[in-house]
Formats: sequence, C-alpha cells, structure tokens
Amino acid sequence: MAENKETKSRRDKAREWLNGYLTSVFAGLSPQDLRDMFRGKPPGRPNPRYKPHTTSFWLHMKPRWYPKSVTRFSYTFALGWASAFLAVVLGISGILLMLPYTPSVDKAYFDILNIMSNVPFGKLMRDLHRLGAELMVAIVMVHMLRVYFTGSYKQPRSFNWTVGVILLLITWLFSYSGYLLPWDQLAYWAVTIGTSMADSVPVIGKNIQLLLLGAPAVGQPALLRFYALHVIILPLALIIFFGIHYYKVVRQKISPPPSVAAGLREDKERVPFLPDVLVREALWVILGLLFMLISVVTFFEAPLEMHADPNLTPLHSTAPWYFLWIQGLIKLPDIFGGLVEGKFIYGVVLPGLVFALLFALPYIDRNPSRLPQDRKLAIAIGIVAIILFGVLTWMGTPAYKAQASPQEEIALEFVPTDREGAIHELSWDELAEGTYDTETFVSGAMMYPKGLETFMVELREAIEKELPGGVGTLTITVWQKDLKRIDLDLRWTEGGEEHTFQQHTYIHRNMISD
Amino acid sequence: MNVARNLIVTTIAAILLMALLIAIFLGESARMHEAALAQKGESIARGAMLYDSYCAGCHGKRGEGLAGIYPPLNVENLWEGREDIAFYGSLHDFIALNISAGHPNQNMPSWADDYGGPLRDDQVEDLVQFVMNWQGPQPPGVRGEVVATPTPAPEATAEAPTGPVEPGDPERGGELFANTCASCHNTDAKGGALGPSLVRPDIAAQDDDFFRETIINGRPGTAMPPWGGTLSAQDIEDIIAWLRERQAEE
Amino acid sequence: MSEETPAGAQKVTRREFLWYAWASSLALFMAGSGGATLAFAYPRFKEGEFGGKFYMGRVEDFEDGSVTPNRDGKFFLVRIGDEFKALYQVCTHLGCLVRQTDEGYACPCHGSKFAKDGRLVASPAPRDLDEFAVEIIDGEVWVDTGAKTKGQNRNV
Repeated sequence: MAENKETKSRRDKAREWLNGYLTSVFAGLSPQDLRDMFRGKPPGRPNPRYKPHTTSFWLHMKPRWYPKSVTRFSYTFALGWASAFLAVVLGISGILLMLPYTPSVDKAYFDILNIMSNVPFGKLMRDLHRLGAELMVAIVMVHMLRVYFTGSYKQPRSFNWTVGVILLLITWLFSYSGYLLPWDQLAYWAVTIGTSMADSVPVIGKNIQLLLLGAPAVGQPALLRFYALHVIILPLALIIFFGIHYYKVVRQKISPPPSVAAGLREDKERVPFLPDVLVREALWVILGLLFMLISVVTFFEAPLEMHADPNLTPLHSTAPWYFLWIQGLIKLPDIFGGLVEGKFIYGVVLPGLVFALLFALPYIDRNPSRLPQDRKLAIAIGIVAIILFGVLTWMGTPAYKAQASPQEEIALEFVPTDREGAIHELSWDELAEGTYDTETFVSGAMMYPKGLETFMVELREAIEKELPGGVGTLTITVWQKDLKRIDLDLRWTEGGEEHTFQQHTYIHRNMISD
Repeated sequence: MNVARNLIVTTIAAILLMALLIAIFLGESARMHEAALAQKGESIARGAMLYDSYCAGCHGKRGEGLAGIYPPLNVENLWEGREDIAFYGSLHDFIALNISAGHPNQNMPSWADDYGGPLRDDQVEDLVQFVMNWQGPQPPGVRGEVVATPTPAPEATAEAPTGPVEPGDPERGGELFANTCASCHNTDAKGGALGPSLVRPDIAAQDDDFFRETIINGRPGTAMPPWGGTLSAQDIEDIIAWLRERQAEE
Repeated sequence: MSEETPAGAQKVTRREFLWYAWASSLALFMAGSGGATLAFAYPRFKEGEFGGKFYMGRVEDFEDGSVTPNRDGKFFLVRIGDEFKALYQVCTHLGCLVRQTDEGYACPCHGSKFAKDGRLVASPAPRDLDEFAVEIIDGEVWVDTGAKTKGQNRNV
C-alpha cells in the first residue's frame, strides 16, 4: 500500500512538473487551457487566453483582442501587416546574402555571379530579396493610400502618420541603397543619375554630393557608404521607427472604420488574438511565403546587367520604378531662366515639397470627420495625386523624350549588344548560318526555322514602321566553337541620301537554354 | 473568423511549401551547373566583342594574325613550340599576362588598367576566355581562309579596292580612321606606340598615291599591315581626305 | 483554472487534432527552412581551392620515392612503389607547417620529425602526419583536400 502511494506520487510529481513547465513555456496557459482552446471551448472567466499578453515578451506587443470591424480584410487589406512581414523576409534573406557578398568594386559583381551559380539556394535567395524589395515599396505606398483614404491619420493618430512618412523615406532609402550593391550597369547608372541631383543644390550641392558618394563620382567609397546604409544604419533606423509606429498602433488601436468612428454604426463584437487572429496571421505568413516562392520559381527574376562601366551609359537607363516620377519631372523644360538649374527645382525642390506636404498632412487637414462624404476635397486631391504619379512615372520611362534614333532603337530591340533582345529568343539550331534580307525573305513557306521566321517578320514590320523604305539584313556566322556572330545591317534613304547602320553581337550556345 | 478552416488551409499550404523547397533543392545542383556554363558562355561572347574593338586590328578579324608580325590566335594549340619561354603558369595565365602587361619589345601594348591600358581585369578575363575558346577542334570555316563575311555596307567591298571613287569625305574618313588606324597611329594621327605620326612634315609632303600604296599594301618589315582586303577604294579616299585636313592644321 | 485531469484522459477531438497537425506542419516548414539555410551557408569548394580537389598530373609523371609539394593544397604528394599518399603539411602537434628534409619532414616550431611516408619519428607531435584522400581516375592523380584522415597515434 505504501509502495503504490510512492509510485503514484512520483508519476503525479512528474506530471505536475511537466504541466508547470509547459505553463511557463506557454506564458501562463496550462496544457488544459490549451486543449480547451484547441477543442473550441469558450474561455472561462477570467479569460486565461489573455494571460500570455501580460507575461510574454512577444505577445505583450500584440493586442489581446480586436474589434470585429477592423478585422474585415477589405478594410485594411492587411497592408500594415504585409509591410512588417516583408521586412522580416527581407531581413532574413538579406542577412543570408551578406555571407557570400563583398562590397568591393572588384569583387561585388562576381560575388553576385557566384551566388547564382555556386551557392545552393543562392539564386532563390537573391530573387526573393529582390521581389520582397519591389513588393515592399509598392505595399507601403498603398498602405499610405489606404490610411489616407480612410482618414485614419487624423487625431489622435497624427503623430503616428508622421512616423509612417519617415518609414516611407527609410523604405525608399533601403531600396535605393540596395540597388547599387550588384555593381552592374543598371545599378551604377541609376545611382549616378539619382545622386547627380544632389549637386544641383545651390551653394552646398557639391558638398552634399561628396558626403553621399564619398568621392566626386560613384565608385568604391559610394559602394561602401551605400552598403553601410543598407546593412546597419537603415536597419537600426527601421527598428527605432517601426518600434514607435507599431507601439502606437497597439496602444491607440487600429482606427475603426469611418462609419463606426462617426457613430453611424455600432461595433461591440471582439475577436480575440488567441486563437483566432493568431491562426489567421499564421495563414497569411504561409500564403505570403507560398506566393513569393511560386513567383520566384515561375516568372520573377532579379535582373543583372553587364558589369558596371563608368565609361559607357547604356541606352534607356532608368531609375527604379518608384523614382520614375522624379525622372519624369526632370524631363520637363527648364523654365527658370538660368537662375537655378531645372533639375534643382524638379529633382530636389518639388520632391522635397511633396515629402514635406505628406509629413505635415494631419496638421494641414483640420477636418475632424473621417467620412468620405465630408472629405470630398481630400478624396479628390488623393485621386488626382495618384493620376499625377502615374503620368509622371510614364514620363520617366524611355518612351517619353528618351528614344534614340529609329535605327538605334531597332538595333536595340532586335540585336542588342548589352542585354537580351529578340535574337536571344531563338534556339541554337534556329540560329541557322546564312544571310537573310527583309526585302527578299519569304515567310510562311516553311523554308526557315520558325523562330528565325518570326524574327525576320517582326524586323520587317519594325523597319516599315520606323524606317519606311528601309531594308534590314541579318547575317549569322559560326565564329568559334559554340559561338555565333549575329550582324544586323540597316539601309534606308532619307532626304535623298542613303544611310546605313550596323550593329553586331555574339551568342554562345550555353547562353540559350534550349 | 473560421478558425478550423484557417487551420486546414495553413496546414496544406505549409506542406506544399515544404514540397516546393524540397523540389528546388533536388534541382539545385543541376541548375547551378547550367548557370556556371552560361556565365562562361557569356564571358566568351563579351570577349568576342572586346576582341573586335581592341585586337582584330593586329591579330586579324578571325584571329589569323599577320605572318611574321602578329601571331595568329586561332591555332589549335597555342602552347605548341613554346617550351622555350620559362613560364610556370597555365595557358590561361600566359594569355592573361600577355594581354594585361603586353610585350613591350614586340609591339604588343599593355591592355590592363593596372598597366595603363583601357581594360578592367574582368574584361581581360573575358578576352582570355574568348582566345582560349579557339583551342581545340573548331567547326569548318572558323580557321578557314575564305570566310563568309557579313553583308557589308554598300561602299565597302571584299575585293581589291578598285572602281570609280568620289572625292574623299573627311568626316567619314575620320570615323574610319578612328576605328581602323587610331589603335596604332593614335586618334589625332600624331603617332602612337606602333605607328608613326602621319601629320609630320616629311610624311605630309608625300602625295596621295604614296598614302594609297601604303594603306593598300602595308609596309613589310614594319607593324603596318596591308588593308587592301578590308578597306574599299572609297574608304581609302575618305581616310586620306581626313588626313589631309589634319596635316593642314599642323 | 487548472484541472487535475491526468493528461490523455480526454480523447483528442477532430478539432484538436487539426491544431496538432497545424503545429506539426509549421514545425516541419521551419525545419525545412533551417535546412535550406544550412545548405546556403555551407561552403562549397571549387577545384584547385583548398577544401576542394586538386589535379596533380598523370601517374607516370611521378617517380617512385618522389615528394611533390603543393602550396595551395598544403600537402606533399608522395609516391611509394605504386601507392600515392597526400600528406597534410600541418604538423600534428600545434599547427605549424612542416618543411621537407633529406630524411622526410621536420617542424620548425617544436622539433617534431616525420619520415618520408609521414610516420612520426620524433615528438612532441602525438601522431603521424594526417592525409588527404588520393584518387586515381583514368590514370589521373587527384587529391581531395576535403577528405582528411588523421594519422595513427604513436609514442616516440
């Protein structure tokens, strides 16, 4: 009898200890509380599922419950959440990418090549990082628009709006500083163009540019500064400002929908974080990762152009898409009579003004109502701003005012020397040796490989459109083992004179995946 | 908020995600190998472009060289008969060294930026890959004497430069000079590492036929190759017209 | 509110099972990501890089009794009869590089001595020189500096 009591109490003691240990691991929820939660039992009073929010570090940052109206997906579209999610994805992939990367002008480009061909999951990590960066910029801007259109920036959340605008700036700087790191033509010239606006500032412009680049032009010092910005300075700034931003969101709670805030309808129902919102956020994490992974495996690839060449600006150099609006602005005519450079007004003053207006928005807009019917002017201005952004962005592309001569454009599209073009879509066997002329080329007769036929037909159409009366000749020569030379000759008449233009490139068999 | 549904969807999606990761992992080895091959191919293609700009002028468009003056590069085995040079590196190193540092006594300039040349180290590496791709067996026509040249512009021909010509166009001649002659004679024709000044008084005093003859036939025993097979009669007239303009400025 | 219900007394409901499946799938995913991170971070060695494989030449290129040093690989390739050994140049005492002598190798730091085939002859080193795997493939001699075997312990 005495034996049974001892063994029982030893087993009981072990169970007791395990229960106690698990309760501390789950921050105050005992195993039975957990099982009740899993089984869908409603919580008792006091609600044990609130305990982790006061005892655990991670959960003390999350609200204990949300009003049901703010959990509707079509209210916030989870944009703030998505920004935080992407920041984590970018942070982890960024840290991993730091392992094989050297911020040296001699090594950086080749480290990228190494990442893509000699590091397992290297290309995946790089593509994920790039996709995350592009999505991040887009999503934070849409998040800002959502907050604007639901009037959530009004008191008492005005301070948090300004913190958000600072976060927007940090996001842009993150993306821009990371842009330079591959040290390819895209990186080099985008940053050269962007930072050239710094020295247009009167009096201190030159000094600002020197501070930014560490030298008169983009080079090793710039690469080091941008790297330091990207991996430590901006992350620290992000931690500080995101901390403030998220703290305010939890303390002040997510703003209720305008109709609720105005008292037009009631919202008494609460959705607890444990288990409901936790499970939903876990779902979003997995779906978000799945979306990104599938994108990267199917259609999305981080671009890599040729090695940076300070002596050759490629055709169609553009800024990253979120700065195309500035590139569009600086194409506007210089109307300031030489007093100040056009690019100072368009590239520094106007964007600065836009930023200042965004920053000060809650203090300019004194209308206390968040209902759309009371904010017709604000809504209209928002829509006009979006349209303007779209138009200026288009103006930033090469389509507006940055086209080269028609013959150069045709050569760039069909037989480019420094990027992929129409000729690279043919398979190795379709690049049949010979000379082909748009004048005499016969299509549809099955005489030529299909890809070649498509190429010649498209070339003929392009010439008819841009160089009427012109003729294009394509010559494919076997140049070396596994190497073919592609020559494009264009001949046309203009103003009674005959003109010619030639461009050629080389294609190696391994460049084409057939 | 349907907790059960969310649990199910998350579980399925997480398993899918794992499966995707595993699938990617299984293919990584092959993908990396393909990527490495593609990068090497791109290096050779870039090397070919660089060769056209910097090397073809002396070593020939198809690497055939010029007998006695510039060694051919398109031979099957570049190491052949070179045991005399005390060099312990690989063929790759040998070619890279020659391109980077040149052969000062043998009319080969230094091309790497470390030695005052215009090329970055990665561009030298591209050229080395291109030259090394000439090693070993090649498809027919690569080393052949007669080679299908791309359809030339109407003015240039592949035959001896004869036929009716118009008075030389100095503007066109300047372009031709920059692409063909400047590598030795310098862009201002005042002379460079290999070619003498073409604007100095004693040369400027020569008549047009002197220039035509020299350009067409070259100067055996010197670094001046014959250009009759590459430049048309009109090309030569244009170049001479441009040279005359430069000489008049002196 | 902790009941003293012994664990397992309640039967697992379908709903509860869903939670366990959910947690397991997430744990599995985390493990998979960890594996991918490991694969990413683990270094790969190219041919000719220390840690990778070195091509030394053809079997005929090496005489019986020859010792061929390789600086990048940090080893001595020794041919004894028909056998090839690749002796790691690092002394098995504290890590200095041994130098070739007439009788074999000697360490300049604390005086350890080894015979030509790597056998320990004089202490303070505790074991023979370590070796890298040598593979003869189609008459080609390859040394794999990623595959090291420790030398035999010896008391001298």
